[in-house]
Amino acid sequence: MTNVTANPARVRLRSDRDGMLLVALLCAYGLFFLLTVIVPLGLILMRSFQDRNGNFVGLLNWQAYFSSASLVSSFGHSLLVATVTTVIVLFLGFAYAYALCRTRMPWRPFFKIMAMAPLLMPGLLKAIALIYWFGNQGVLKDALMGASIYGPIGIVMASTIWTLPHAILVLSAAMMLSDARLFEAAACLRAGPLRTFLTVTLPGVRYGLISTGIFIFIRVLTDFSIPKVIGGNYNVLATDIYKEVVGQQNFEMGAVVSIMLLAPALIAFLIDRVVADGKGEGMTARSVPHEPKPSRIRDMTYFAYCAVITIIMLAVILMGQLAALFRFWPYNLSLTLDHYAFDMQGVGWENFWNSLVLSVFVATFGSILTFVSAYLVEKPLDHKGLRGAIHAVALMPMAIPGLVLGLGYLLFINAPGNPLGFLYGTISILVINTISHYYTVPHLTARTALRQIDREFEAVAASLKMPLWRNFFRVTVPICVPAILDVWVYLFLSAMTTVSGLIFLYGIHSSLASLAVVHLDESGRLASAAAMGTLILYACVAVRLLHVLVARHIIGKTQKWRSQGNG
Amino acid sequence: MNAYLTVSDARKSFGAFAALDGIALDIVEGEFICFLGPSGCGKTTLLRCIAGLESIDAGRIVQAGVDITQLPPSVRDFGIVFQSYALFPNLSIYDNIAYGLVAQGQSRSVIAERVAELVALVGLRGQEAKYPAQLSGGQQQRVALARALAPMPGLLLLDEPLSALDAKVRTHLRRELRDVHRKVGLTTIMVTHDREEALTLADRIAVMNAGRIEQIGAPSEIYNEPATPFVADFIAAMNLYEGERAGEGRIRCGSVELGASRALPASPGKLLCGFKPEDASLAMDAPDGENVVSGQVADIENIGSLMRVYLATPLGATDVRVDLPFAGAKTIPKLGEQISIRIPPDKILLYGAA
Repeated sequence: MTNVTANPARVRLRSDRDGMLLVALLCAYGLFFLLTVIVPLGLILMRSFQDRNGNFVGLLNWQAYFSSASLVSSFGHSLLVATVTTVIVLFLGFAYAYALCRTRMPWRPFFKIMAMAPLLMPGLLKAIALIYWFGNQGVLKDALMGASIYGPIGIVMASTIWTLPHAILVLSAAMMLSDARLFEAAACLRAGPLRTFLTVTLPGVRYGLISTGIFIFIRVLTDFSIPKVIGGNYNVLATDIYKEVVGQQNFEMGAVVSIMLLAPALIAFLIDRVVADGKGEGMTARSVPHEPKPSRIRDMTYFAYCAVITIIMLAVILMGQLAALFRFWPYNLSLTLDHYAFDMQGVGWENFWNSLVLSVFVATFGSILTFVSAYLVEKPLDHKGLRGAIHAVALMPMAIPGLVLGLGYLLFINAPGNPLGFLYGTISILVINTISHYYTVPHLTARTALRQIDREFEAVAASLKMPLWRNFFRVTVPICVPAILDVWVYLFLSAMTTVSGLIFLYGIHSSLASLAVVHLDESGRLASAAAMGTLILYACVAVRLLHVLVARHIIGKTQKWRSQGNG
Repeated sequence: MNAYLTVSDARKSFGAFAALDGIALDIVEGEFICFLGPSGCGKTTLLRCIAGLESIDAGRIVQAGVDITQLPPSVRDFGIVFQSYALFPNLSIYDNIAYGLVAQGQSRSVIAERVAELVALVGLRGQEAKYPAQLSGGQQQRVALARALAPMPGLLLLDEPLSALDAKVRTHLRRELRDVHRKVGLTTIMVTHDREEALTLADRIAVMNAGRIEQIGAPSEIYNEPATPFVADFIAAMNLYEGERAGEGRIRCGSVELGASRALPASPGKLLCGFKPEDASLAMDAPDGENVVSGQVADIENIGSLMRVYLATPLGATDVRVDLPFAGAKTIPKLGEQISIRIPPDKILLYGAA
């Protein structure tokens, strides 16, 4: 019956090279995450049950932790500061995003840019600027009515300014996605403004609010640099880890505090995943954008609000730069570049060059790694289980505080007999640590970009016998160039400003600008710290501008297929 | 008859849902076959299993004498066209069509020759340098077809290729597809939910429902002799009424007794009786004649050359649909009027009721 005359040679029984390449790559990623995330975390957990000599001591360290009132109080402090900041930022950010997306307020493009401006400024510099405004010798010290900026107030203020742009970014993206047709339907059904807000606006951004809230909570909870600079004697978990490890060389207690910090971050992260799963991929890009009708009172109210926020942001940004230039605040306000001379042992321009090198490496290798992993997770036709596992691990770094990951690296790299021990103190280990710490956001960004491509491309390529990797370079990468550039810049800016994990890992020849800010501040050289902070700021601004130019050039030159010329 | 592609007892389920529930199928070389059915019937899943984009849980697929059941799509032999076209947006029309030839490592001149041939075949000469976004939907679908044909695959798979196009382009492209198939003679499988598309294009149609093939046969066979009530309803939009036996060659539906000259189903019990809207005719002059049913006009739809009349009759609860030509009509029924129709005994199809 199946006696075939049709060219049987055409169904080729050649080996499935795509499949083998895929499995090899997925296993390589598995190994990467094992070494950069799972083993370091495991070592921290192990260390919390050991004494100084590595003997198992059960819960002894934990008992010591819970019997120390000051250590336990940090846990409450951290949760309090993170919660208060989250609530404030959600309110401020929602109103700002609402003004950008749902009003006809004048100057909307300007306010949009201004909201993003603080992203380029390291959190450290914001904290220093706040000290110049509100500190012991601050201009507006009296505005705090006797309260001190060095403590929870300062941490909350600096954290608010630091995280507000993220909230505005995510919430306005969520509001942009909302469908104008829903507003028209609500209007046709005679819903008033309040009812429309409660039944259309709020449900539309509900998930955006929850995930933004959790994101900010984790960021503030795990942040080290702001409480370090402006926290004064107010202990939080992150500064405790630093003190235990760097100050007292007590790795065991550092491990215990790390787990106390990891736990709430992990719980918040899991809540976010559950909520996100429930939501599915419901939102589409096909909805009709909403253009509200002008209303003078509403528009002017929001204009005033955005103006106030913007002025505060500008005041902080400006003061951060002036702080580096004033000869001797607040007594001699003549301007000088002396603070850029960095007359402190182990601090100098070398730190800044190191930071640039680090950031370029992190951005370049990081965008390649994250894009390939996102592709492997999203596109191939086979090996669903393995791909799902890699995706799950790639999400983990988001929940791991940088300081905790850094301590894990320190324990791992210093473990006796570790063949990777030579990496200690090198730029390489800093690059690896930073990439794995910031892994999740670029991975998700790349995945989103890949999801917007027709999902049948790989099927077509397979039918045309084009190997997977050639299709990847010929089609997938060119289409995703804008997203890859975005990821590159994100990683560059993150690496430039990050402190947390690296403070345990740098060596004499690999200290960074951001670490120098911490050390200069520690030794009381606030103006020099600000000067170093501004170097980071200017590098970030330069890269951002370069990104705009390069993106415009590349997209104009290689992406001409995007234009819809007439047929 | 030599089968080029044989699917035997293919099964696949997504959780508790059986997408393919024992599919068996032989496809002859050079044949144009349509998988036709409503959404969720398993037709696209079957196509994707043949391509290797999904794997079957049980059963076998043999193509050109080779068991391909376990092979990944990259080593199978097929070209595919998707509803979304899936053209590479960053490649020109030329590069899209040449894509599979480049993968084969063909020389530049061979590629240029073959692309020119295909561009002529699908009528896109002069458009080679453009990008997909610069073409209309119909043109993009032709590029997708040319790209699939370029490496000369043994099997062409079309996944609802015309569904995203507007009606006029669709009809036009349907004829071109038929022409291309005649010229190239390639074994072709097309998935569609549009019965008209299937009836005009296919050599054979496999009507699918709930993961099974209900009937497979030539379009005329499917249309005139639907094997099951599902096919009768889906392909011919038949009027279906429950009925019972009322003696030799006679049935009763509701309170009406009708002559039905076809053989009754062997299984005893209730019947389903069906007839097509176009097989009934007006019988105003003989209201008491054989197989004449009277009813009140409940609704009238004007569909171009035809009017579709909905009649409330004693046959059953649902209205009878009758298609009457306007041309040469002596009487035009009006809403609420009482009219009579005749159902020829040999046009009544009989099924055993489930």
